[in-house]
Amino acid sequence: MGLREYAIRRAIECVVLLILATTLNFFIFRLMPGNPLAMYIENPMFKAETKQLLIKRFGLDRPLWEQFLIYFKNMFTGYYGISFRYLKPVSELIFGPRLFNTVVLMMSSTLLAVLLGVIFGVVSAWRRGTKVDVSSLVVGLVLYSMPVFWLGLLILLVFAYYFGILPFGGTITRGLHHQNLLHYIADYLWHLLAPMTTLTLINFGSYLLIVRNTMLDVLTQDYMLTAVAIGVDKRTLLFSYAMRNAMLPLVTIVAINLAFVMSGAVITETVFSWYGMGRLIYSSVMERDYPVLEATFWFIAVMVIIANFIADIVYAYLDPRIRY
Amino acid sequence: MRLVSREKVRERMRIYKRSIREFARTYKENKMGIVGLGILLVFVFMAVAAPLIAPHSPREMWLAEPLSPPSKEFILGTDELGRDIFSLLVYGTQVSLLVGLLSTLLSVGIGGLVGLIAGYYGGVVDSVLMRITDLFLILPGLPLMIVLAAILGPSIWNIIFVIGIVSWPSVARIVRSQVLELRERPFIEASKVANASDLRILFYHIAPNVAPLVFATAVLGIAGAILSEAGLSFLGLGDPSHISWGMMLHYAHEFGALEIGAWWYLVPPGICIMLLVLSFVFIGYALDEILNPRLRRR
Amino acid sequence: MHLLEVDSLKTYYYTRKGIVKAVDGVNLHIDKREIVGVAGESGCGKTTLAMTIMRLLPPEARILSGKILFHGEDLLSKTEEEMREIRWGKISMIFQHSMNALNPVLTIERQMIDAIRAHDRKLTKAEAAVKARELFKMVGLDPDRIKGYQHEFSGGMRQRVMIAMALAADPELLIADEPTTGLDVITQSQILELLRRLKDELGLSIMIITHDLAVIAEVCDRVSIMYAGKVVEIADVVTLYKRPKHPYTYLLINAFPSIKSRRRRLEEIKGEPPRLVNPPPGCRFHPRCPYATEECRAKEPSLVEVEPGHYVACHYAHKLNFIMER
Repeated sequence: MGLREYAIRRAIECVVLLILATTLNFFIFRLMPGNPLAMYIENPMFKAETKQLLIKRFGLDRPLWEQFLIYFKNMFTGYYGISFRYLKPVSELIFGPRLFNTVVLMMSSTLLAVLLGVIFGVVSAWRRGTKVDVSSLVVGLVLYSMPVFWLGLLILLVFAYYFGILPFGGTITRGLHHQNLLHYIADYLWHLLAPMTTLTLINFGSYLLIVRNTMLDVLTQDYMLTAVAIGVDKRTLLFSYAMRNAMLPLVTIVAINLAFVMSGAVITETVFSWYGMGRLIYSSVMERDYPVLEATFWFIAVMVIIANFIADIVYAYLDPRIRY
Repeated sequence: MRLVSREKVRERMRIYKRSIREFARTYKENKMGIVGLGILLVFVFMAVAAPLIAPHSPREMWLAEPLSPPSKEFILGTDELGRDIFSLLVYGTQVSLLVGLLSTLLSVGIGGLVGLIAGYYGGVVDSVLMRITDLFLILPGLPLMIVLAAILGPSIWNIIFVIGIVSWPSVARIVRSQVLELRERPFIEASKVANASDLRILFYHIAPNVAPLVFATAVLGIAGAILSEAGLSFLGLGDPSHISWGMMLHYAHEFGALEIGAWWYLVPPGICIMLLVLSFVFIGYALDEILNPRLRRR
Repeated sequence: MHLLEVDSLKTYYYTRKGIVKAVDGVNLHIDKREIVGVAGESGCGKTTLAMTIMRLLPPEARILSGKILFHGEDLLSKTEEEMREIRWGKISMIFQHSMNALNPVLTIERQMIDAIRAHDRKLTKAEAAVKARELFKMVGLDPDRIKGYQHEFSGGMRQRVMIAMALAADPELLIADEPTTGLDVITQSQILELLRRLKDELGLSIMIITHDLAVIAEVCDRVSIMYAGKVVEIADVVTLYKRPKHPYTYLLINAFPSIKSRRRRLEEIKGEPPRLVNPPPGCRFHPRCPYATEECRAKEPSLVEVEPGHYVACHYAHKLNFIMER
């Protein structure tokens, strides 16, 4: 089977997953007692007629299957409903600075974490059993076991409270008048530093463990013994013979980890009041703003599914072994 | 006949006993496993003997000034409601352990069942179940838990349910691949020929063979569940009547412990979460090394 | 002087379960242009012997005593740097499970070039590529497929690639560990035929490690039979098949069906295969030997020459005369 057939098969699987995820999303929000509007309209300020009007307006008087079809169409045509809290279309809340900020935070921390994870993971496996290895392993496990938000709080306690060199939170300094774009960017980066470090460290732990594991796996393969026996020099041995094999699965792992990073991002954004999607989820939970919650969750799920699909294709393209 | 079967039972017991002893011996040599088990035992003791260890009730308010620093009477100070932080910490162990164990039990139950059925029956059943598994595997866990927890409302049972229902897919995958391997073994074939029912084959012949590997996964699952509970509680989705470590940090964050530098409120709960999670991770790693033959080297 | 001479070599593994005496006082030699077989059941220490000669042992293994003389120089006293030159440069090896011995993500050409240039740094990449193609031709492969990947080759072809790789630095001695295991019968004899041709054309010496006596019969000049970490019999192939002196050899030969005889006799060797952790005292074969006496249980027999070039380690070598049906 060629790459194209493989890609088509994966694409079909990806579409099935998207449909399943969308369906799941619909039913999760019908799990709660009453109707999704209950939180909003059970308000003494509304008259009975107003309530009826709203229920009709939101289509909640129609049968479930019809609601489902409407919902389905809406999700894939970009209409995500109106936020209870902001009384604005949800798409306006998602697409804009929030999405940008989350992408910046996730991209920067993932890149750093992968970079550090690869370096330390490879060194650790290469020098298996030495002090370097054992200490990296312990550091990796400790970081893996640390709650994200607590690491964030610790960083704030030390660098914001005791040293006073980092802000307590936010995306830019509120009320500050930025003289020019450069000033703005500097302020933004200053705020980015702490959440990025937090997310980087947490993800670094798991990447380190993963890379170390795959590397150890590769190093015990027969072809490594052959290369050692041949007397291939150490650099080539490490970079061409071992790393190329060990790094391939990383493409998939980074994509799979995206869901995990997203989980970390929700919490990190909350700790640092980072103006992004994660905090939007948090505040929507607090305000029971279901349309926003429904849409953001769906959006994240779709992004993760698509990222996984892309990673699978890239992996298949990079790996000369065609074993679909 | 009876004599023979009793002898058989005894023989089986002997084999079990020997393998348990063998396992204990190998486990003892595993440094990580011993450290993990040590930490875990301390926490279990803390949870069981909480009323004896904690000097105050976790519900007792206004014992001292809110957010007062550590003193002789309150070794870790007080929270924003003047409760003794040390006592809250001790009782919090119960919540973490309870949530970790029960939600993992749930996820192993669901995942185990799905994996057994998918692997044993194969075909359409397998593809359908695996698509659903893939879906849950690929969805971001915490956001899904958040959405579910927000809808179901704050109660410790809902938290357990939410964590369990989201984290079963990895168990299902592992069990399925094991079953696929076992299905081809002669003794399963033999039972089929002997007309054993599917149920009997699944639970009497296959499940016990899958158990060891599931056990190692489950222990790592507990670690994940405890972290998830902490995360959900930190986001304010916890059960206010069972104060967990995550919730303590939620309150600490909400009530400005950071702005006044109340380290005694911020640091200890996190250390507890980390140590408890670490203990399960260590044990899980040790078990995986012992029970998973792939990792053994020649 | 022999090309390679192994003298009372001992290699033990220090594992959790105890000391594994994998190679426990082994003597053998290989001359120029000679194919020597080392045969025995799996787990008798054959592979450890090869890995000791290559000095590629895992960290838990230790060479306790003995000498490995190559052109009269002891390999065990060489530094790792010197060994790096000898390994593949003078003595190369085809590893067991060679199905996985090639790197899956690098082209065969790249790996061949690396092997050639690792021992002749003066060569440019282009020159090495030319040599790689020649080696490909020599082992009977189509040089145009050299840019392919490992998974594009069949089992037999991969084994040929491995042989070509082993010849990359023009070695004098080639150690082939189970070179035919896992291949079908026709491919097996093709590979063996290739090895014999390389011996003739290149003047190569080859040590073949196998559990399969049919392989020995097909290509070897001389044979060493190993049992539980020790050599129990050495002879040229004809003598060994006609007049085996060690009961183990006799049983081993009879355990394998002769290709020529119509009647397939499969006489199982009774008893458990040798244990290397706590080997039995005296002659290690005595628990399974039908002729074992009190002496065998108490005293270990040494390897003695019973006729020119025929060595046996058995107390009753002079008394036992096995009648071979042929």
